[in-house]
Amino acid sequence: MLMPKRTKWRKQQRGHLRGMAKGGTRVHFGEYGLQSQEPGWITARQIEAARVAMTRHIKRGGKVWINLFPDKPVTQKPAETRMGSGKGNPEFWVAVVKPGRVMFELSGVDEDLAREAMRLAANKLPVKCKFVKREDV
Amino acid sequence: MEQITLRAETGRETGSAPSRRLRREGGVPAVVYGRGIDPITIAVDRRELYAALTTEAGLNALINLEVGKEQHLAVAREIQRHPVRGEVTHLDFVKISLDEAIEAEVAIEFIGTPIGVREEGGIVDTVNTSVIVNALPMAIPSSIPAMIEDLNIGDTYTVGMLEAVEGVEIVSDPDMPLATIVIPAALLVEEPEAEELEGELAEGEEGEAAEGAEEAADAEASGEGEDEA
Repeated sequence: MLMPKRTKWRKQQRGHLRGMAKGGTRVHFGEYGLQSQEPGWITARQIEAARVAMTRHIKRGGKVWINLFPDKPVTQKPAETRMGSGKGNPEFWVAVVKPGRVMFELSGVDEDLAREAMRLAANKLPVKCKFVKREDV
Repeated sequence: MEQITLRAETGRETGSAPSRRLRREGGVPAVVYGRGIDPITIAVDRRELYAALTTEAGLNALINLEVGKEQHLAVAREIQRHPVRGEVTHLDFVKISLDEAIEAEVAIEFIGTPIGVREEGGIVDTVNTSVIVNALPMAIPSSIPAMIEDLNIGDTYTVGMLEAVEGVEIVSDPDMPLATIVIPAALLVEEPEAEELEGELAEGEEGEAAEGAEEAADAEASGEGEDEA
């Protein structure tokens, strides 16, 4: 699963999910993309599940790009623990996604196959998604 | 290349709030400048603008802007879009002259199925899909064909291999790759994936040694390895 090799600080504040994506809003590398329509946190596990769903569907052929990286640690307190005694332990990593972000890209396959692969990938994600195509110049 | 006429209104209020109001009413804020004229803030109708930008010429369409009583021949540049809806939120019109060459981005049209794809099951990896050209406005092509039929696995089609188009000078670096024929990752499979997973596991263990608190992540990684195998 994707995670940073090393970080300067072990824990982060949660932050707010305001506004729209500032960059990465167009299909840049491949021909087709999966664009987020909602803000959310995508875990490393969900990214991996989406990737596996997509690559299994396209079988041979095609190239996949993942334009997300889970660089935000999320902490959790152990079960049945009383409140207090500081912040919990880092448990998993998430990528912060805002509306408009093209999360996955695909090329080398026809549109129907790409559409279905993206649909399967979108089912693994906690945000509403839209299939998008590269805009011609 | 034909010229498209687009009506523009002058005297719009500038600023984010008036611009937002204008967009809500079906307009698109824009500005026209270049060739010795002072920049003029204008507003164009969204439907008319889309009609102008979706002809065969694409975004390089020559637009005859009717600004009040004046007419300016211009091309659309710096098109800003809404991140989710993709609607044009603002654009610049740069005034041009028909007898002065301009730079434009032109799409590449890949023609033919490469040998590497037909016979060896490779895929076409398009690295770049457009090039910058320098040409007279009327000579700018809507696309430049790239004949990729003869490419084998591992071959790369570069800008220098494009056929010359009369009156068009390609500005992009001749060594810039446009397409490569590669073997799909699925054909290279299992071994590299297993190596990757081992790498991830090792990283997880190192992290644990350093921080002493990532047992969950390690367990996930090892579980994932079993699944994949």
